[in-house]
Amino acid sequence: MNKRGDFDNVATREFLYLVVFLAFFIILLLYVRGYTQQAVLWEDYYAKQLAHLIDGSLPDTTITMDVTQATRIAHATGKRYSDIFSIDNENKQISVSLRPGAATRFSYLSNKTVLDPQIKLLSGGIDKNTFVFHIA
Amino acid sequence: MNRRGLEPISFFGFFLLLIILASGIIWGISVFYGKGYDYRSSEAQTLADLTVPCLYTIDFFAEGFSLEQCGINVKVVSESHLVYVRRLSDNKEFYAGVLDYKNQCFLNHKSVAYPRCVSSSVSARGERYEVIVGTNQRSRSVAHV
Repeated sequence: MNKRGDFDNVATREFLYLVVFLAFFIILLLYVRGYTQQAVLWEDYYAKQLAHLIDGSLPDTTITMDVTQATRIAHATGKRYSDIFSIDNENKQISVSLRPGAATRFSYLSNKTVLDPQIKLLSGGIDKNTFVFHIA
Repeated sequence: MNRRGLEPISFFGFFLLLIILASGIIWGISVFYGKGYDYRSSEAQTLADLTVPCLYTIDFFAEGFSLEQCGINVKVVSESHLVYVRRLSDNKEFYAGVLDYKNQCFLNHKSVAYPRCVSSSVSARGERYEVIVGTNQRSRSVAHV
């Protein structure tokens, strides 16, 4: 009877289960963390507000939006400010990311092009910050 | 004496257990934190604001007409929106997006799962039109580097 072979099989299987469970646990932990820090809720809010501003704007307009709350959450989650907002002009999609490894995506309806999107950190801190972009 | 201990759980059973656990946690979180910011009613109004003024100047039933001429992105609209226009004189229809929203729009008081819509009657260029626009667009969580 090959007892060593049995042990190897069991050990491999247990190790595999452990790896899968740890991966599952980490993903779930990040998911729960995103909600407890309210990052997901604010991502959703900012993505939809940006879509609303873009769709409702006239061409050749510069829009300034207060994003202080977003920068506060990004500061807590360790997200770089420059990575918070991204706008895909080709697919008309807005991505807002306030947590590591994930973002919330929302599409705007109009064919407008967004130029020069950038976060401006007023007074160099997180007290009052704005997101500025230009509608072509 | 049974020295083998418990029978090993199958991989399928293990995954099923994880899925049940994850579903419970996700359900609990969605109940506690709510379903997020429901922007659909405002979005439907925005879509109507883009569509109706366009109807005054452009013939939706002309050959080769596309909503792009109204500054609306057809690709976005085709996924989870509806723009429906019916010319009352000959019942000719134009639509872009999910046509079934036309029926679902009238059920939106039954459940939040149904789209939010704006319907209006428009007189333009000597014709009368019925316009229904609707949206059921939800934000999506995606992986982000």
